[in-house]
Amino acid sequence: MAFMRKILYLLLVSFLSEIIFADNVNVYTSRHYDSDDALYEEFTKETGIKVNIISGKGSALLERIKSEGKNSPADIFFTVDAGNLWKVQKEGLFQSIKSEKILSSVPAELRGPNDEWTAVAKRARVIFYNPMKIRSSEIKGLTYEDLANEEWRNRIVIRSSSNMYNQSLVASLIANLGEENAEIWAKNLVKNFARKPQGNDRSQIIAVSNGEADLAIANSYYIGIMLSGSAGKEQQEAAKNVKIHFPNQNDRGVHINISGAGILKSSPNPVNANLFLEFLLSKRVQKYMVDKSYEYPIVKGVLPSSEISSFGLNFKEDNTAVRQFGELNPKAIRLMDRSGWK
Amino acid sequence: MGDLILELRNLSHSYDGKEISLNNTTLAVNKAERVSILGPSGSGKSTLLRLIAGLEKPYSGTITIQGKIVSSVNQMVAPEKRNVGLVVQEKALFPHLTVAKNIGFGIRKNQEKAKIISDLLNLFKIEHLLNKYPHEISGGEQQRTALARSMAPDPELLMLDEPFSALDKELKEELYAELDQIFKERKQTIVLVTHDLDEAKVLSEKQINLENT
Amino acid sequence: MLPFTLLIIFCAPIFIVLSSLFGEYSDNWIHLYNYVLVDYVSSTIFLISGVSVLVFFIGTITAWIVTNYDFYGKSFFEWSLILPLSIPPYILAYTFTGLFDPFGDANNLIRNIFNLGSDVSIFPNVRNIYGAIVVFSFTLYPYVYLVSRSAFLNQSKSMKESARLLGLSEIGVFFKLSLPIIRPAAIGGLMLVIMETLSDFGAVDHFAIQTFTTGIFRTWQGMYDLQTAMQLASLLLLAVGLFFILERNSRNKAAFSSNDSSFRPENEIRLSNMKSLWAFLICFIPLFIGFILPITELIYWAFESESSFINQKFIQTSFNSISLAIISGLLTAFLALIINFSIRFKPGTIINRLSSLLSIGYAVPGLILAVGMVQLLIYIDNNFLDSTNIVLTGSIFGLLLAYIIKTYALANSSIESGYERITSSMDDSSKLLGSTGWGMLARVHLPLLKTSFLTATLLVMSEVVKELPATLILRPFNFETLAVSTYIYAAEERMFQAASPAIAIVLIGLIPIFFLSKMIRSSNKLG
Repeated sequence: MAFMRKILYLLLVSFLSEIIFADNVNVYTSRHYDSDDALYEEFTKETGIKVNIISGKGSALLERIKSEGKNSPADIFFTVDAGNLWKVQKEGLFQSIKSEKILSSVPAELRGPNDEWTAVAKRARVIFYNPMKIRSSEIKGLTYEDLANEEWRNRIVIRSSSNMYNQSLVASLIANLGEENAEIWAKNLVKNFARKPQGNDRSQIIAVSNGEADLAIANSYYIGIMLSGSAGKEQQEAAKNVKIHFPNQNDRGVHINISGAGILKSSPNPVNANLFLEFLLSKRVQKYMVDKSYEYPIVKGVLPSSEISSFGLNFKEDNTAVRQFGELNPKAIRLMDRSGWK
Repeated sequence: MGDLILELRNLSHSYDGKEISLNNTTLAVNKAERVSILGPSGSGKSTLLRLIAGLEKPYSGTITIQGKIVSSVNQMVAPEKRNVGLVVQEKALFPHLTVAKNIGFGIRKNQEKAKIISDLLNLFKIEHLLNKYPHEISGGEQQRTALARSMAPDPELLMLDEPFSALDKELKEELYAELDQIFKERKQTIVLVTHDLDEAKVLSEKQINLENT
Repeated sequence: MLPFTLLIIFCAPIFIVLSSLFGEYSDNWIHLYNYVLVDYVSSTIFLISGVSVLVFFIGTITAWIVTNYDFYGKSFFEWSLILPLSIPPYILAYTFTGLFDPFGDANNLIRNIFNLGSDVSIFPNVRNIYGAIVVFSFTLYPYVYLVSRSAFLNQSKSMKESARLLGLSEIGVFFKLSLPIIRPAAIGGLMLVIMETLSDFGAVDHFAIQTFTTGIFRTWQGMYDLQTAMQLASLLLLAVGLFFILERNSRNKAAFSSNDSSFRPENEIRLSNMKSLWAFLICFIPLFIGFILPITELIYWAFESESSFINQKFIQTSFNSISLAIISGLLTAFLALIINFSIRFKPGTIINRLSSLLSIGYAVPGLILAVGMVQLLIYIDNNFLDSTNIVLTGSIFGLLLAYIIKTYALANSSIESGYERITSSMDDSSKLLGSTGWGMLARVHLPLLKTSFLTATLLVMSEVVKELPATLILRPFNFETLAVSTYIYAAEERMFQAASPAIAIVLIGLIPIFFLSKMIRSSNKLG
C-alpha cells in the first residue's frame, strides 16, 4: 500500500509542480549538457526562479510548441541547431529580445533579424591535420573550396550527411558560392573521401591521428573534450597528434555554428525568461559554460577553455551565413543526396 | 525356420544408474513371425521396444537385426538406419501434416510414393481422410493413420507398444480382425507389447511373458 | 462499447500519422524518388532480412538445444538466454563502437597485450549495416527464443521418435519436423523483432546507416518537412500491415497448436562431453554478445567516470522508471486482455481490425508516433479538459498513454496466444455454471491466462524502461527516466557518464526478466 501511495503522490506532484513553484522559467531545450544543469541551479540560487527543463530533439520540441499553441507553458526555446531557431522565427513564435544587456553584448550577426533569438555559444567547423604528415605549405591558406581539389583524392574524412553540422556547412557554401558551384564542390569532395562517411566527429579526428586519412572536417570542441582526458587516455594521446587549421582566413572566415535561444510569444513568464537569457550571457556564466563544453563564448572579453585557446584565438569567422542556415538547410540536404554524400 | 530377423542376447538396461527388470532378456524372432510380449506395467516391456528401436542404449548385451549387430555396449546404429517401425499409444502424428502426408513422411522411394500412400489408405479404410489434419479425426482414425505411417517405409520389423489401449472395446475388436488380415497378407514381422492376453492371442502366434524369460 | 472507445483513443495517434497520406505531397517526394528512396528501401530490406534470418536461427536453435538436451549449463541458459532483452539496441550499438572502433577498448586491449602499434586494428569496423544486423539480432532474439521454447516444450517425445524411426536423423528432426511445426509461433515472435528494428532510430543513427527510418528523420529534421516524413512513416506502416496480414493468413491455415502434448520432463537427451561443449558454446555466444559484453563495457565505463552516480537524482530517476514500467505494464496487459476477450465473442468486428492496427503501431518510429500523441493529447486538453491550460500534455497520464500505444503489440501477442489455448468448450461449461460476460473473464479466463498476462506485463515493462523518443518529448518538466539520462550523455558521446544510468536500465530490465525466467523454470516442472 505504501508503494501505491508513493505512486499516487508522484502522479499528483506531476500535476501540481507548476502551481507549487510560482516563480518559474520553463525551458524547452535540445541542448543537454550535464554542466548546464549546474548552471540552472545557480540561476535558481541567485534569483529564486526555478528552471523547469524538457530536453529532446529540437524538431520534436518545435512540434510540441506549435501544437500547444497559445497555451504552451514554454518560455524559452534553447537549441544547438540554428536551423530550428530559424524555423521558430519563421513561424512567428518568438518575441523580440528587448534587453539592453543582451543587445549590447551579442554582435548583431549572432542574433535573429529582429532579435528573435540570440546565440549563446558557438563552435567552429575546422580542419584537423597531422603536422608530422602534412607540410605547412600544403595546409597554409587552405579553404573549404580547396578540399574539392584533386590533390586531396582519397585523403579526407568527414561524417555522414545526416549530421546537421555538415548540412549547415553545405548551406553556408550555397550561401557563398551559389547552389550550382556548391554542388560541383560537393561532388568533388565526395571523390576525395578516404572512406565511406561513418562515425562521429571524434572518429574523424582519430582517423587523422592514426594515419587513416590526412584531413578531417570536424567541430572544434571535440578536440577539447579529447585533450581533457575525460574520454580516456587513448583519445587524449590521439588528440595530441593533431592540429587545427582554420580555413578561409583570407576571405570570409571559418564556418561557425551556434547554440542559441529565444523567448516565445506565448511565454507565461517573459520577465523570468529575459533574466534567464541575461544570466546565460553574463561573463561569469559564459566562462563557466565554455570551460565545460569547449565551445567559443559569444560575449567579448571571455576566453575559451585553455585546451581550445591553445589552437589560437585570432581567427576570422564567417558570421554572415548564420542567419541563412535554416533557410538553406533543405537545399543543402538535397544537394548532398544528389552528389552521393552518404 | 525362416530368416532370423531379430535376436536379443543377455539384454539388460539401467535407468539413472538403477538396473531395471529386463534381467538378461534373450529373444529371437523370425521373418513373418508374430510375437507378443506380455507383462504388468513396469516390467520393462516398452523399454525393450525402445532398445530395439535404438531410442535407448542397453546396459549390457547385444541386439542383432538381420544378422547385423545394431546395439551393444560399444556400438549403436542410429534409429533411422535400423529399418524398424514403432507404433505407440500416445499421439505421435505430425500435427502440421495431413493424413496422407503423415503416411508419406517416411517413404524414400519417390516414384512409388503416391501408390504406397493410396494402398495404405485403402488398406486401413481411411481414404476419405487423406486431406484431414490429425486434430480433425477421431482417436481410432488417428491410430489407423499411425499404423499406416509406420508400415509405409516397409520396415523389416514392426513393433507395436500397446497401440490400442486408448480405444474402446468395439473399435479394438474391429481393428484386431483387420490387422490380422493385413499382417498375414504382407507377411509382416511383428513384436507386440501388451498387458492384454486376449489381444496377444488374436494378433500373435507366440506369447512371451517378460517376467518368465 | 468500452473496448471500442479505448481502441479509438489509443489508435488516434496512428490515425493522425496515417492521415498525412491524404494531405499534400511536397516536391521533396520527387527528390526522394530520384535520389534516395531506392537506397532507403533496399538497405532497410537488407537490414530486416539479415536480422530476421539471424534472429530466427539464434532463437530457434538455442530454444531447441535447451529443451531437448541435457548438457553442462543447460538450466542456466534456459533462463539467462532472455537476458539480452534488458539491453536496448542503441546501448549495444554504443558499447560496440566503444569496444571495436580503432581506439575502442577491445582494440586497445589487444594492442597492449601484444604490444602492437596504434595503427593496428584487430576487429572489423562495426559502423555499418552488418554491425547493425548484429546489434538488433543479439538484443532482440529473445522474442523468438521465448515463443520457440514454449512451442518446443509442447512437442511430444513420441512424435519426434516416430520421425527418427521413419528415417530422419537427429538434425533432420529439427529441420524437417520440429522447426516447421513451430514456424507460425516463431514468425509471430519475429514480427515483434522486425517492428522494433524498423522503429529504432538510435542504433542506426549511431552507425550512420541510411535506412528508411533515418530517411524519415532526415526529411523531417533536415528538410523541415514533417508532412513528407509522416507520409514516409505511413508507407512503412502500410508495408508492415501488409506483411502482418500475410502472416495472419499463413497462420490461420495451420491451426494446429497441439496443446494435448504428452510432454515429459525426462525428455532430454544427455549429451556426451564433446557435444555438451558444442551445445554450451552455441548458447553462450548469443548471451555473450547480447549481454555479457555490453554489461562488462558499461561497468568498465562506470568505473572510469569521475562523478559518483548514486545520488538523490539518480534514485528519483530510477524510481520514475520503475513505477512507470509497472503501471504501464499492468495497464497495457489489461487493455490487451479486455480487447482479446471482446474479440473472442465477436470475432471479425471492427475491434479486431483496430487491435491489429494498434499492434502494428509498434513499427512506427517513436518520435513520429510522439508527434501524433502530442496532437491527440492537446486536442483532448483543449476540447475536453481545460481550454486555458494544458493539463494532459506533459503529464504522467500522457506518458502512460504513449507507453500503452507503443507497447500494445507485445502485450497483445502474449495474451492472444494464451487465448488460443482456451477451448470453446471451457467457455461453454463456464456459461452453464453461471459465469458469463465479464464474470467469465474474471473467474475463468484470467486464472487460465495468468502466465500470459504476466508475460505481457513483463515484456511491456522491459520495453518501457528502455523507451526513449516518446518519453523525451512527452514527459513533464524536470522528469527524467533512466533512458533519458542515458540519452543525454550518450548523445554527446560521453559514454563514461552514460554508463551508470545505462547499467540501471539493464538492472531494472532484469527485474521483469527475473520473473519471466522464474516462470520458465517452473514451466519445466508443470509440463
